[in-house]
Amino acid sequence: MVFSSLVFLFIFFPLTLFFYFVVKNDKLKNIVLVIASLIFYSWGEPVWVCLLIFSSVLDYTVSLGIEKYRGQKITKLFIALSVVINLGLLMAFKYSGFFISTINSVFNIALRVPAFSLPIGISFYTFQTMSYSLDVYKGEVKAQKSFIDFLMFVSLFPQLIAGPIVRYSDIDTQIAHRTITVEKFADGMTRFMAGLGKKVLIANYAGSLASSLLENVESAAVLSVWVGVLLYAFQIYFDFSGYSDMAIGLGHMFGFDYPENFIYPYISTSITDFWRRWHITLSTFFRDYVYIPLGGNRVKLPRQIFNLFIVWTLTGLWHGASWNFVIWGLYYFVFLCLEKFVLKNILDKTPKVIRWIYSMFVVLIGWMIFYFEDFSAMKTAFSVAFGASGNALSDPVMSAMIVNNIPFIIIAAIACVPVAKLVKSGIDKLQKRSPVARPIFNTVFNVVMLVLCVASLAGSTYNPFLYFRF
Amino acid sequence: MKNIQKIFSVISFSVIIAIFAVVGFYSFFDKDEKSSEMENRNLAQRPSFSLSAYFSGDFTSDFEEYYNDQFPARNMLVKISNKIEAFYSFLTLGDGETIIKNNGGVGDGEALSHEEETSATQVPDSTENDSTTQGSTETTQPQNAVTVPDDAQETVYKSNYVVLLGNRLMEQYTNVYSKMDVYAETLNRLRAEMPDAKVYSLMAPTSIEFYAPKKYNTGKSHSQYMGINYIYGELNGIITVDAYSQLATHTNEYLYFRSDHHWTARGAYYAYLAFAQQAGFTPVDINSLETGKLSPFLGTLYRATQSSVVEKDPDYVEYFIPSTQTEAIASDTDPTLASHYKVKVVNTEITSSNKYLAFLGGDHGVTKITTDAPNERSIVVIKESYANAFVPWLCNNYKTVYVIDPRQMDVKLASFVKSNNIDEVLFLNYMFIPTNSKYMTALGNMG
Repeated sequence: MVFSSLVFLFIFFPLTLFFYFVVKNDKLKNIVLVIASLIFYSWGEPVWVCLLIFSSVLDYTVSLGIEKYRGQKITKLFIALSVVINLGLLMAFKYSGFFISTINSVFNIALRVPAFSLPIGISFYTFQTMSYSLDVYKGEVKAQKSFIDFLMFVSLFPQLIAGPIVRYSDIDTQIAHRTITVEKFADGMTRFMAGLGKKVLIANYAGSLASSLLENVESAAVLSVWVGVLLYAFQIYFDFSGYSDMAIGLGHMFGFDYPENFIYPYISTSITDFWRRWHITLSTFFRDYVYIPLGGNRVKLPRQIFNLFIVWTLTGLWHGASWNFVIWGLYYFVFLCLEKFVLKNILDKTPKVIRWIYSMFVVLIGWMIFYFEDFSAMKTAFSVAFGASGNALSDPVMSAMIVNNIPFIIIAAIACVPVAKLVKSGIDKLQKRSPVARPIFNTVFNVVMLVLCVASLAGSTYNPFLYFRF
Repeated sequence: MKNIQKIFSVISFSVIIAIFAVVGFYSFFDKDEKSSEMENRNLAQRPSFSLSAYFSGDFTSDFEEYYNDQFPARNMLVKISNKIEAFYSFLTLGDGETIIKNNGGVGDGEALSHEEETSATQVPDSTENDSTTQGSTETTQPQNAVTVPDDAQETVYKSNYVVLLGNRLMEQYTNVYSKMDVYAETLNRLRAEMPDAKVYSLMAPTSIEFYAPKKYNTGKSHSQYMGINYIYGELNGIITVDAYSQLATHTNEYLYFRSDHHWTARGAYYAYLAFAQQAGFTPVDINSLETGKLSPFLGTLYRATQSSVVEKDPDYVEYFIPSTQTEAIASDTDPTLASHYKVKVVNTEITSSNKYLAFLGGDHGVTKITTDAPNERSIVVIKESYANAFVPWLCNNYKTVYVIDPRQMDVKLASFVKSNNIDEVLFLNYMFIPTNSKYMTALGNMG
């Protein structure tokens, strides 16, 4: 199930809220959440729900073992078991086809390529359960005694299928007991509606424009490719950050505080800055569980560069089992190294505007790599975009289409910059004078969003979540 | 004070939850509709639950579809969502209602079901005279009979490269020279396999060439005139047919549909006049034939865009009955036509809403038309649906007309020509074909 569907909004969500608040006891509340989450997951993935439960049982057991035999050698075996099995699942379900077809093409042989459908959210929940065991192993958190509570942490539907990647340590104090205030709930609802708007009103529309511009790259005009990639940049940001907003908002309504995942990435003034603002829970995950254990930057320069190389290869690969994602990861590795070791002083002296233009250019090219899983299409797109193919600069249909959609492009661009922050601080000022200013604003905002989003959902069957693939 | 704030906060989310819950509750008890008039389709009905359906995932996807289709006040919500898109894109309100993805014009070809096309066509007597030819090699682009202002206000539909100008929908055209090379090479290769046949190529321009502002149809990228001459220049031993000039000088007539990507029978007639010059026969006079109109007709481009301007002003299909007696059979599996079904060259009693299927009943693998034209000439036309409006004209002058749509069936052209003793071969395609990979693959497989 996805949040931006009528079934979720009008059936699943009100029913879950009803049962959650009708039961008074914390244990029962957790059971309600587990049942709701398993229904939510099995709605889209009725068979692989057992994989989710298996992964939970594994790390629940492993962590209890580690806790019991703390200080003894056998704990190493336990943690190895968790890492090997979790990564093994990920390998088998997500990467086996990719590796075998790569081997086939390198050695020119014909091994059978397994045709698993990728279980929804596997990249997210295997990371969550594995990092939990690692945290227990390192002694950073205590092992969870109740299986139901642990299963709730893993399966919690707001963040189950598309992040943010919530670590056990982020919410361990909230698992057994949560306090929900009226303000927190109201904030959560507004956050949810804002995320829904991002997804339904901006990302979907940008996506349909982008795919029509990038569909036939070989005959596309130069500007079509660039505008297409720009619209794709809008799509992927509003899709993914909208989903995170909805997750964080839902979390609030059920009493959880999830970490932020995006902080206006398109106002970044360097690539380093971009990765501090884009999919934050993923980059901190790789930082804490790969980069730092490898020695981080407390090692000699060549080793440090090697560590970064590993991290960014994995980051790329995490996004999908295809070479273009690996290239995309390494592309960022190059720019991050350049900024870290070469350009640092130069960048510091450069005016902000120039740095912003540089960063956005790099990011756009990055999306061009990210978009085309098919290499020959990617090659064509690049040769068209940089004028090597001799295609026309612009194309009348494309120009008319862009002119037609100027209002949309302006709205999307404005939504990328911290306008919401400005509005918020304005309302905070009003709030000091009248205590109902914020609630009234929220009410109006929520109702308007609801009408617009439900209308758009009803009016369109075009509703795929991009991040389902990961 | 704190209390008031609390009450208003509660309101801010309860309103939303109340709407979700009440509408959600109501949605289970309202009456389900069978079909939607607005969309011209049947709506999904409630699926029955079973564990096996649930675990296969069928139940959940069917249920989602059902719930979306039967959502309360769906029609009103769709209208609001159209307004949102209109706001985003300057579209005139009420236009561009539901944007459906265009399958690229020709798609896979379409045909009437075989029951719809029993028994062959009818009537009048024949007038036939063979006459002289003159080759035409044009150097300057012929004058377009209509003038289109360059500051015309057009709308472009986002997902399908369809331009709306006034009440006319047109598909955007771009020359892709590498694909046009492949097209010409394929024809040359097929031609080389048939040394005894007389081979023609006719490339048909589309409406955007004549009815849109210059930026859509001039220059290396967009001029179909340049594209056609480019292809003709690459051909070896193939007689080229200058349909373009004939069409251009008659564009003040009804040559192209406004809601469909095809030309009309009248448009095809002018191409036929150009063909007659090259093939050396006297064309029939259009005014001498029994004629009629099939209306209303809303075609592929309307289906792709749902433009309300065009919907209010639909096309009609004008037909002309050949002057000869015709009998036609077709097959999608057997190139020898040993097993076949009957089709009509012009079906005047068509019930399908796609009235263009009146011509030949749409696209079939192989069609054979036998006429009582007083000669022994035979021709095979290799084509997609553009030729469907054209072939009836040939029936005035050829004893036997074969039609092959390579997308529908694998046919080896050279042996087909040989075994059926065919004298002439015409490749007739519209200008979008070189970039249509399905057609091009099929055409390549004919050799």
